[in-house]
Amino acid sequence: MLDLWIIKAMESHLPLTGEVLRAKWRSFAILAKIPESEWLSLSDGWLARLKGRHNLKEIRKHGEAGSVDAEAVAAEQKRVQALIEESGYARKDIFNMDETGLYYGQVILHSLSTCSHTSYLVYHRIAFLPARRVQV
Amino acid sequence: MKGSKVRLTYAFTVNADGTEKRDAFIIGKAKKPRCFGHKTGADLGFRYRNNATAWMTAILFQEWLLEWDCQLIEGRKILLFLDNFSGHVVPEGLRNIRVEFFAPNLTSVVQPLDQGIIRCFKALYRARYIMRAVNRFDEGITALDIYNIDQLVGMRLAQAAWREVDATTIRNCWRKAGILPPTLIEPAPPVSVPITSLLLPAAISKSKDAASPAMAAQLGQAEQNVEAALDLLVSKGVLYAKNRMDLDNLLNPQQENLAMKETSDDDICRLVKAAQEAAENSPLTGGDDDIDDDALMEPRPSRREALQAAAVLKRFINPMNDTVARKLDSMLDILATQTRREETDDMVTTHITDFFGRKNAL
Repeated sequence: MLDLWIIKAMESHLPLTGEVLRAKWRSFAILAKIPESEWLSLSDGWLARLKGRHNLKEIRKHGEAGSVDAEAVAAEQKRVQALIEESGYARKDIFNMDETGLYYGQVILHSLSTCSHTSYLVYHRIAFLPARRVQV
Repeated sequence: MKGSKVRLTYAFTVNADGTEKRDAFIIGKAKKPRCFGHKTGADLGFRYRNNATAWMTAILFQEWLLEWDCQLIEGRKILLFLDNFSGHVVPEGLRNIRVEFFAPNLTSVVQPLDQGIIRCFKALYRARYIMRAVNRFDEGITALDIYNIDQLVGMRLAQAAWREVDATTIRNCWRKAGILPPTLIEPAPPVSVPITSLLLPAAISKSKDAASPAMAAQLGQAEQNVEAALDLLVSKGVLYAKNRMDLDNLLNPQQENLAMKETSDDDICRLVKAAQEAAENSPLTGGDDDIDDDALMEPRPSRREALQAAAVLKRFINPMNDTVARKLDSMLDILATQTRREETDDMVTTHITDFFGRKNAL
């Protein structure tokens, strides 16, 4: 749940800090009715892992709306390129798969909201949490 | 919520040189929507699964991946890139597929499918969908009902739209993602600018930072077609100009990607739980046949009606001498023959059962 909330927060460009994340974890724990005795300690290690999972190297406000850290992008492209080169796969043998939602019916009259923000957020991120651990 | 009934998940798979575009993996809510007519998705030529949320789950993902792994011709090894969505859990026992993940939160930039392939599909789908509405209006269906569509028709439109996404678009999206090593990128495409892009400068400038004129051509063309279809609806007085959604909203409606902005913490909590429960309870057979768009379904015409319609069409195209008309003419003949054969086959079946003295099942 916290994972989803972080995605949402990043969409809204909320400044995130370690304390905010800890507080949010606790409020989700309450929502999910997890007894206090089973709460995580929310240590610095936990925070570091959480940041790692979300690629929040330094949790800081993104400069421009919707922009992704250019350095992180370049690093990732480099990493994948190296991985492909090293693995020696031919171009025809390299694939990408992704899901998207499709509203096959009436959309043109739906939602007339004047939402200027057309973020591309894949709904399926909400679909799941890793396994069944009490990970809020 | 009406909308929730009509959302499907489409999983698309493409390779880096655009030569392979796998049939979409579709996930819906109903196991056998009524419009399937007692057939399974496989009977109808789709890779279709269902669960209560119509979302990808780890179990569906693993089944799909293992199946593909088995289908690969002996000796062919492939590399598959995925985002780190938590449903993407790699099963054990893969022999031919190696799976790698993109770093979190960067997929919108480095994932090829996000660089225009999916958007192109959606534009192609939406153009077909709106043109269908226009045609229905011309058939005399009331403006309120022209958008009605059952799941099967929707899936057919999507199938055609996906087949239409061309290899050049796919190649260019891989290039744009910047993840292929230089050795694997073909020399820059010829400078020749497609004629369509000269005709449609507006459409092209709209398609965001297109990687090349060629890619802009298909995406721009597709988006232009959506606009043109909407114009038609407006000109026919079916759609009020003020109600018209802008292209971005139309191709990427908030509901499709769930408006996260409006989700409260409670919603998040509920959604996650619902997804977990749905996944645990009945991943493959979940959902239920009754969750369906009954109201939207149009009954299948009888064989007799189909034969009559074919005859009408033949009369209509008789005076036409173009290739399309001649091709259609021979296809209508084939359809008629096939329909009559099915009819005879059914009759034969009946006679045999009669012969054995069983009660007539029909």
